[in-house]
Amino acid sequence: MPDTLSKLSPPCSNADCPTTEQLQRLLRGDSSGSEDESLVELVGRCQICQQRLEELATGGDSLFPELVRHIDDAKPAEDSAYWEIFPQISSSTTRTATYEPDILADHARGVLSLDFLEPIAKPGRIGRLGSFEVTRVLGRGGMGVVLEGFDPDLQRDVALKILDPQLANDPTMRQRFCREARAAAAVSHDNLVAVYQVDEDQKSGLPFLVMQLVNGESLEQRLRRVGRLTPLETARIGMQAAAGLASAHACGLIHRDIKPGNILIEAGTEKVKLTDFGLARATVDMKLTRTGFVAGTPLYMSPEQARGEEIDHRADLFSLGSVLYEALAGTPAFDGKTPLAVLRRVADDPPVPLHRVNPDVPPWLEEIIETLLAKNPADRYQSAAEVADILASHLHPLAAHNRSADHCPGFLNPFRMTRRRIQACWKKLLVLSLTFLLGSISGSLLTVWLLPKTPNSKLAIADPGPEPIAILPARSGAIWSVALSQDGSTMVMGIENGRISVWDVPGRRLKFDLHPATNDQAPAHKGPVWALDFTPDGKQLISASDDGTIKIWDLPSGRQRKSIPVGTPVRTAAISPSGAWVAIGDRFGEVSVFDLAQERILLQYQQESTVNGVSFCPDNLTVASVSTDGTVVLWEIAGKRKRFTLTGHGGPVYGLSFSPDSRELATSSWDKTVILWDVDTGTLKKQFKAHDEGVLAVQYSPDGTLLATAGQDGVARIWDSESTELLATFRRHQGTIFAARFDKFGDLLATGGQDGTVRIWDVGPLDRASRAAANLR
Amino acid sequence: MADPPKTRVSLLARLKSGGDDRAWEEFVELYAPVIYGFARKRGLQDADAADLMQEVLRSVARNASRMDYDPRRGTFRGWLYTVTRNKIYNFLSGQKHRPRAFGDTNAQERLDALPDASIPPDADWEREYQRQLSAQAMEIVRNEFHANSWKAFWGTAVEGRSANDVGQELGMSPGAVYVAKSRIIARLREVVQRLRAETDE
Repeated sequence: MPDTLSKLSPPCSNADCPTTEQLQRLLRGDSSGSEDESLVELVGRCQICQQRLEELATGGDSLFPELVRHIDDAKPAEDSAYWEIFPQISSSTTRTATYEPDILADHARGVLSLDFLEPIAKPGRIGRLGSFEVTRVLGRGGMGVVLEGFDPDLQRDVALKILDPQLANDPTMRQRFCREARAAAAVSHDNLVAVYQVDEDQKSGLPFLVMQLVNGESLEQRLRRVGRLTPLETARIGMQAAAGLASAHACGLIHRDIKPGNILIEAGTEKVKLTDFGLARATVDMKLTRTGFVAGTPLYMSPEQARGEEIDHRADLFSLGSVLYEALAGTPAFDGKTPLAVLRRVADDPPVPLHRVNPDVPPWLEEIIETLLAKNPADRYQSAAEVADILASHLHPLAAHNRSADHCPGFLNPFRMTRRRIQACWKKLLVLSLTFLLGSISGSLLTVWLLPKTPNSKLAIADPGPEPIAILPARSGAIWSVALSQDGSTMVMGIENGRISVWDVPGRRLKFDLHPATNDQAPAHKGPVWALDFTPDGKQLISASDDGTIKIWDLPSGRQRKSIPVGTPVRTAAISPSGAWVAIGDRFGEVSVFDLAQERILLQYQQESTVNGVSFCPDNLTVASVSTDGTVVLWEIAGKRKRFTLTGHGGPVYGLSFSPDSRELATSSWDKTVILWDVDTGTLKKQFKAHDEGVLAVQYSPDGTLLATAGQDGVARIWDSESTELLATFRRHQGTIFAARFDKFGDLLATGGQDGTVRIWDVGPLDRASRAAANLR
Repeated sequence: MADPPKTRVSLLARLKSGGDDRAWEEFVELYAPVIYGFARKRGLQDADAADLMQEVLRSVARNASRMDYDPRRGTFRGWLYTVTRNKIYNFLSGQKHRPRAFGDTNAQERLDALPDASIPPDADWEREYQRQLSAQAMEIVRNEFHANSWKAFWGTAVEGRSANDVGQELGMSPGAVYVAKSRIIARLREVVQRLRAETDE
């Protein structure tokens, strides 16, 4: 330990005092008894020795004694809320667990071989079941095995669900399975997996279901993948699941086993489909009698099921509530170490309030879920249709506004309402009427959440302003990025779910979606498409996504030319005026400039938080980026030298645009303002309030005379870039606008946002007026 | 001084493998007070700090099994710091408007699941962490020593009283008090280093 020794205080001058070696032996406690005692005594007398001993003990780490001092207050105070939460989080396993009792799991693993399949010679098929060719195993569950098959007669892919052979041996079980399956086959709804037929395999005698094959994933898989869902996504899934339940309930069918694994989400369309209707009864009852033990998944069971009582359709509503709770919380509403503990909690305990687990959950959604989770069925919503309606009214508040009174449970008969329901009802009406008052721009869910924060909005009964010349609906989620081709005839939109759609603007029709080279069905990206940009020649398009790739596409063919893995979630991208370089910014604040031909990094630098926008100066010498950290930075590309860090915005900066003459840079921010900077000197030339909420996008028109801005208030505005006089306001979007782009001639402006539409606005007349004004000056 | 290598299986690896309830409990015992203490230092009230602690740990529970941990991006502790810091930031900024990157809610979990090498954990966080490691080490070490030795250590090192006073109370010479204190400190450091190796990688 020479290092440690060199840090020690000098030995004391007293010749009697122990040597360093003796002190070390003393520490280890391996000196002889008598020597020990005399040394101890010496230490007791000599301060220097005491100090040296402590230094040896701490290895020269002078901070350690400081750390130990008053360590007793390292724990939270005795009356702290910490001690209420600590046992919950420490003992209850917070990880989502499905309780398949071991007997069941073994059973499913061991007994369910695929012996019942007949051999088949065709390549790509693993066997034959009845007239169906089986292609692969989709999954195994407590009740049997699910196979993917092909129906050669109808030439379509199907899912085949085969009843567990052990259960199939029981005649009552078989009868039940077939009866329930036939009942399910009688119901047809967009949100239910269609049951085509119930069949029996001739050879093995096993009954099986032929069902619609849903290409996608179950909610269970999705939750495992992403942890938890956004309130918007949860409400949407809840609404569709409730709609599916409503149609089944109308036919007298109760699901009995609503759980994340039975809620399928179709890839691409995100459509929700419920499966395994009524089958739970066939299996669960059986297992109950056989083992005297509750099998399956008690996590989502209703209290009346947990108590083994008779149930009606309202049990499904409770289960739906449990599922929605878990989707938002990331953990089951009722969790426990054993199935029995879960059942007890289902029956007796209220779940931890949602907002405590996930503060992003809006109060109205929490209330809906709370009502679904009422222990007494009479306190829940009384029908799935009602739940679907209420969720829909929140998802599309304006559309539902006129009908809202009818949607309030028992609104015409208040005596039958519980107090909480009345409150919920009034709150909802209040929100709806507020939404309506605040006028044409609200509408989206996002705006509803933000409502309380904008009490001063003066947009109340404002003139809605000009109409767009085209509305192009993505129909699959918020639009994060738009790009217009040079002549404005082609519009490309980047959508939240990874889709990129190419539209014909004059025809107002979808031309096609872009697909990866490897899969002509899948969306272009696996995550939100944050940025789109045409190359200067208009022949290629670059897209950047949260999935960590940037892709280059040939247009008009739509062929994927290149996929460049970046490795981090790309938040923004731009192509250089020469078309040779691309700049990207990621969520971790890193900005990189790539040479596309050489696939080489030219420049890389770091901002302190998410980079929301990058842009090349038209002179091709400078790149600029803006970040959530509130700064705007400019770098000289060739010299790899930072030119400026511009601070002037009072919050995250979202948008930026260089003037075509390379002399000004416009930036837009959460602070509601736009700043015009002098690119040469880095000075703030002008700052003006552009919107009533955060400004997400700003862009110069190609001739530099106009500035377009758009933002969280759902409004797009056109400004004279010189005088910053407001020239026009476009108000038709229902929710935040994320992107705004001019076409090459500055005649058209495309805006896209939260409401899932791109709107094309005619700014030609304004442009000319502004130019005329400029000439006069 | 080195402990057998098998005790050095990292806590993260055990968390990731799942099914190891003890790993989770150890993890919570160590980090719950770190997160809580740090949140308090950043100005959160008791109940908010406790809620935040719960939220961070649930986020770990959800992500642990599929955490593609890349040591090049920083330590596990650094990752946890980033998650905590972000949540505190969200909490504090959520009290006013909530400035943040748009779309962040959507991808927050993903963001949370990646350590951020660009931001080294700050001094307060480190201190909370070291204190909790020391507190845990004390639990482990305590039974290895005679009760009086422990009291001598506690009286002087933790409570900051003089060796004479403590010695008189316990019937020990001041020298014996110093030696007991130093022996325990030396042992504590060993255990702290081992715990750090286990929890950090």
